[in-house]
Amino acid sequence: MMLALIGLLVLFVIFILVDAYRYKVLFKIGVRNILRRKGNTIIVIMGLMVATAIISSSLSVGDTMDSMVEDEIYEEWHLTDVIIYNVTAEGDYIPMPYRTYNHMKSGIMEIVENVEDVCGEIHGHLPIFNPETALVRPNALFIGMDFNESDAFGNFYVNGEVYEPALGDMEIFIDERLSNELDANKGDYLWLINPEQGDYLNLTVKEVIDNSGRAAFGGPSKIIMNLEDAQMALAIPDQINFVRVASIGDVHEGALYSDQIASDIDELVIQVNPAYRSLGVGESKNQILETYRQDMSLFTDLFFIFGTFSIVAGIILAINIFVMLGEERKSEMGMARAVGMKRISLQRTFSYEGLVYAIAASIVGIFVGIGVTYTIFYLLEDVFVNVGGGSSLLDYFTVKIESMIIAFGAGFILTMGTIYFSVRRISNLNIVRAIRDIPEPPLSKTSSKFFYMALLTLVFGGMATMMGMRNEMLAPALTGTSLLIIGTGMIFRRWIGDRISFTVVGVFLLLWWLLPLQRYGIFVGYEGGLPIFILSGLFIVTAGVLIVMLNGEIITNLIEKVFSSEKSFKAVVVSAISHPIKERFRTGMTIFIFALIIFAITVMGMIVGIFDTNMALIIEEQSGGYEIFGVTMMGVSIDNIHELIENETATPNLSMDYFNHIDTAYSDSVDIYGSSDGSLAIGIDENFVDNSTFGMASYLEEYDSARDVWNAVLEPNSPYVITNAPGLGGGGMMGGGAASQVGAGESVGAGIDDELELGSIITFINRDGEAVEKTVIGFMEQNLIQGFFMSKETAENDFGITSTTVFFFNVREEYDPDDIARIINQEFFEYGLQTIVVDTIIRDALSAAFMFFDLFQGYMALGLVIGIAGLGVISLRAAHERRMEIGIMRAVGFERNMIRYSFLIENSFITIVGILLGTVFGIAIGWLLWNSLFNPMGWEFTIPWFSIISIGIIAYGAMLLTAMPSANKASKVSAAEALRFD
Amino acid sequence: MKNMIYAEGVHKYYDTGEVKVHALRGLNLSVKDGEMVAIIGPSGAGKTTLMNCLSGLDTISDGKIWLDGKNLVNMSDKEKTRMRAQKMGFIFQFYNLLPVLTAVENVEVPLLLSGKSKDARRRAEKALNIVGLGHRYDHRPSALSGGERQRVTIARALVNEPDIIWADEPTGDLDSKTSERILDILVKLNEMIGHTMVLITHERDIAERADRILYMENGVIKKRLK
Amino acid sequence: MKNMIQVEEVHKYYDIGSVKVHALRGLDFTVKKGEKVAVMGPSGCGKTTLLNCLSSLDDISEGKVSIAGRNIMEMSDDEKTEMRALEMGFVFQFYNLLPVLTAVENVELPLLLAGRAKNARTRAEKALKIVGLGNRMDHRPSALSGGERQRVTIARAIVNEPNIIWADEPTGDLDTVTSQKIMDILDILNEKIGHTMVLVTHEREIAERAERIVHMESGVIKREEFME
Repeated sequence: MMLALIGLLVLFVIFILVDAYRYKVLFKIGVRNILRRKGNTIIVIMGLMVATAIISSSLSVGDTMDSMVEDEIYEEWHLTDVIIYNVTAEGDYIPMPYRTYNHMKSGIMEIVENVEDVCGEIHGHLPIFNPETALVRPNALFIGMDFNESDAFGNFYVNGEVYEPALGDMEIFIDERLSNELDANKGDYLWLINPEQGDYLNLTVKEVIDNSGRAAFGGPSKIIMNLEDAQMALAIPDQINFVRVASIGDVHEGALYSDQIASDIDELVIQVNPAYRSLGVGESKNQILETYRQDMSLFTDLFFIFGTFSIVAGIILAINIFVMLGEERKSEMGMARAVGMKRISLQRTFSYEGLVYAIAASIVGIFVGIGVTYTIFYLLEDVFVNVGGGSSLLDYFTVKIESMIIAFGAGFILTMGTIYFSVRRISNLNIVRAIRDIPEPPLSKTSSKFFYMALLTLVFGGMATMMGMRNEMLAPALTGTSLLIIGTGMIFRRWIGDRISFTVVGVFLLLWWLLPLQRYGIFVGYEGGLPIFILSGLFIVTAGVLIVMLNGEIITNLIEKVFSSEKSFKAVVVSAISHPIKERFRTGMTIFIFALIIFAITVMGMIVGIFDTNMALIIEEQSGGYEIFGVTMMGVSIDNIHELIENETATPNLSMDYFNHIDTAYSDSVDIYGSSDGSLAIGIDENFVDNSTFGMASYLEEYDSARDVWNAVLEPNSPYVITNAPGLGGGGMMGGGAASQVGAGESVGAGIDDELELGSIITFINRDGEAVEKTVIGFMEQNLIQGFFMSKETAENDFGITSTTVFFFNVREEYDPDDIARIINQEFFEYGLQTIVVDTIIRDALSAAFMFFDLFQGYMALGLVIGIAGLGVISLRAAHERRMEIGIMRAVGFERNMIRYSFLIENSFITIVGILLGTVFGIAIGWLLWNSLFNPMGWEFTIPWFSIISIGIIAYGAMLLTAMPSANKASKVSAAEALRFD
Repeated sequence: MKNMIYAEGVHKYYDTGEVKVHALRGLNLSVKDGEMVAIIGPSGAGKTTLMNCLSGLDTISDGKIWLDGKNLVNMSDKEKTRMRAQKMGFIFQFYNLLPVLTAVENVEVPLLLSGKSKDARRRAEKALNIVGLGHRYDHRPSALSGGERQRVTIARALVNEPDIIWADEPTGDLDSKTSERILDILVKLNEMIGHTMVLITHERDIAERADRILYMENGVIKKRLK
Repeated sequence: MKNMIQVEEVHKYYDIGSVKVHALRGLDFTVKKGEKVAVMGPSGCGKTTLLNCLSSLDDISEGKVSIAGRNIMEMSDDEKTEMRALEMGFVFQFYNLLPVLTAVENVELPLLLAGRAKNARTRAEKALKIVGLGNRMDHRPSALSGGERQRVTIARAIVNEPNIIWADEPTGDLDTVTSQKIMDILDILNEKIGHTMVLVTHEREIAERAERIVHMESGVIKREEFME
């Protein structure tokens, strides 16, 4: 595929060169024109290279992330290629007898191809405690292995050197991370606690090993021990719960075999013998790689989509510059036509010039794109390391040749397309007018070409609308209808003129995109998505620009009225503003770029602002007023936590003084009829209902308030339950974060079916095998703890659940929840109690999201820079074009300074209109988003004025900087020189 | 009568690309207050350059120029600009009017620029009436014919009651009938108002309307034709 | 003698902004082969428009224009372009030369454009020598004086041995002395080569070098003057 693309490009260039050979003089003219004005050439290349730069940047972001993820996966899995295990609803590994495992192993070795070896291990999570330092990790991963079983899974390393493992009884290896967490070193004793048994193993640290090679699996902070010791820790003698398979390939090659091995094992070994079913094939290395790759590609896509705005800006700038170049050379082009150059030949000269630009720009673009990516990673390194969990993206910075070729190819094609479009515009000149430098007359109302364009627009619009309606997709539906509106305007202009028809088009488009159409029964239930964001920006900004440009005189009249007092300045202001209003196309394009990008940045700012403002509310919703949630492991019950805390001996470091109140709940896993995944039943009491402030996303109509719903659940023999809101649930907005905090393989509660509705009746199977039916009467907003909330009484009577395993801590204001959580972990480690600090988790998750928004905004700011540079270029050209006019102004008495101000005011006008349009529409869309998504949740609306105004000021300031050269040049125009030659 | 314009030994060099042009070669000239002088000569004689230098739009390389007793060479650009706004009127062959302003707005400009904004609108309208364009105040230049544009220019040239009016090929872009009319206006106004006028042309018929005709060639005034 | 140029009842309208101009008003005009005609008139009389229409640079609104017996209105754009390249020479007041080409490259351009590349370079060099610029062949226009540029333009105008040379104010941008020199060259070439020449000017001294002066006013021919 790659070769085909390269081949095509090479062929294309060869074709052009051959063509050029035939038309040597045209090629000569084209190429020499490039060298004419170095400044112009540089600007043209800068404008043209944006597309390539954005594509190359997005791709290198993707490649880097790919590379990072791949490296991490390869490192963690090492020589393991397939893993076999199974977990309960709580995330505990299900064991199987060693003998059965042995049978399975020989089966695998015999039947499945490409397998080098198999080994069986025990994996588990238990609290580990350092008695000397009293530091605890409530949830440490330990792996028990038979060191003699196989050497096909890699070596162990200490400080990078190969290490031969020789563990005696009760001896363990720990890795550096755990060593730091517990402040434990070689020779120290550590207690591995089994809360269920109420027992622990006293283990000696034999060595602190590297978290690499065979030891890498499962991530950092781990313990490696003998198989027997691990079995003892979990009280499952002579069993294993985790199987690893290595293929004949090495670390990287192994991925290639992994899928085949995994499916063969599944088909030929596991399915065949029911005894093996308790274990199932977990994952294959390749599968994991693929999954992460997909996730990453989503990310790259996002980058690219946000870069689209900048690409649009770059293309518009390039068109503007090309058209300007054309206008500059109009006279000589006219003369060339006079002495015998055909129209096509003229186009050829431009095309050759364009080709060179395209190649140069695409090459430059590649490197600029790489530079942009590197800069972004560099700037965000701190954030990535803190939030992303330890690895710096810079280490993995990757640039793939294929990606660069794709970027080159795509950028090249885009550039050539832009050039082609511009060339057509330029070369359609009337010779006489060109030589005399008279401007082209505007497209006449009766132009048939325009009519055909209108028809085409209508046809496309109709097709897109139909496609959107048939597939119930918003993007084509809205786009299609918008095109229909535009096309209609294009047709009607013949009779009612440009101004009226396109102003009406503009107004219609605005209404179409800004009004909540669903409320009027239009496109109800259609699937939306990110493209809508971009399309809305494009159409709304277009509409705004149309309205402003076509009704510019109203603005100038207004401004005249404002300035009518200060008369000498008035002349400057009025003449300054009238220019952009007159040059509609140029001005319109520039305003469009500014507005579009400011629009996108503003919408993002709005979203971030809304989340930020409602952070407290979000935390409130998710926390229910509790700062810390706690869950014990293995269903270990703490029946009397209040007393324990009050008890000095039991918990010397804790006291009830730290808390306002602590509420408890029962929980255990339950099976659901018809579902292979189980769920969690959570039994709560009155205290919980009284104290918590968990909101309800929705509840059955017959209840008047959330409180009533809870009360209904608390009633004796209540058949009612409350669960988490579906849709946002199943992991929840924050659910993923919570789960990973608690520990891989464990979750506070399992996910829930999306088809759940209010009033649904769930059939549970309790541990006696009986069916228990409960009706869902309410959906909670929070998703950190997932499951079915019922009364303690129901939990006990209907499900036989009596263990108090879930705890809600409301910490007194003067104490830091993070500190308290740590102390709770330490004091209750023997129960395996783990804590989540709600505020921290949510803030971390949100700040990760904010960081990405920042990234995207940065990408789009690139486009703004381009737009501003473009304005500077156009302004420079204007200073040249208008030199006669400036000469007259100087003659009649305008001072040099006034001319300078005139230019600055003109550019200010364009910039301010663009910024205002973008800001206003951005706020409007932000409001719409809030109204449809967040208002129903009771979130507050806010406008981040500070950041919006900052962006506007910075953009305006940048414009002033780039407009200075042209303003200075204009002021320096020598009237005499300008007027010397008529 | 005193000299409104007095030039002595004026030299002017300028560059076009790689070539240096000696446009004015020791030129001498004097124009009395209220006089209407035509300067005629072939293309390339330096007529436009001369006018640019005399009016302060351009600087000279050597020599002296006095306007109304003031030494032009010593003035700063700002002073010269102000002088143009307050005491001079300009009529060129084309591009006279700011295309983005209406007729009356164009005519107002010199008054606004010299700080006499109070009656500016009224005086501009009056000037337009004098040249017979009272009904075209709010038209933009693009909506006016060539002759009408020149008449608006004339109105602007005299709205600030200037001492000197400079006209460089004022009828160059017009057909003969309109040219006649424009010249009639210029001559009549010169008689009525009494400003000094320097008129550059390459056409003898037009030059004949002036009080005095000077023939210029190769950067100097060669002879007096009338 | 055959009529090289024949114009019948020609009208031409065009727009400047919102104003419609009736530039040529039923004009009749003929030029014999080899004749040298000057067209004079005040600004705005339509002489430049006439030149543009006759030379196929611009289209007429009504009437008929024949060049060497062919009705140019029936020709396609490409046909007219080729005709210009092979049969006509142009000398305008400014913007004559392509700034990115050297003198000799500018001169050979019409031949290359018409696909007659074979002896183009030799012929171009010869033409430049004729106008006295044999030593400036590789100079770009920016390195030449106004007079030299016009001479290069003239060399280009004759390099294809044209039937007609169109000149619009060829000396308008030059000083008196150089103007005379340029006109001398044009006269000499006209004698030697014998092409037809139509020259638009507002200067009497220039017009007097022609065989016939046609006076235009307001889009029609007012009178004709025969020189000699």
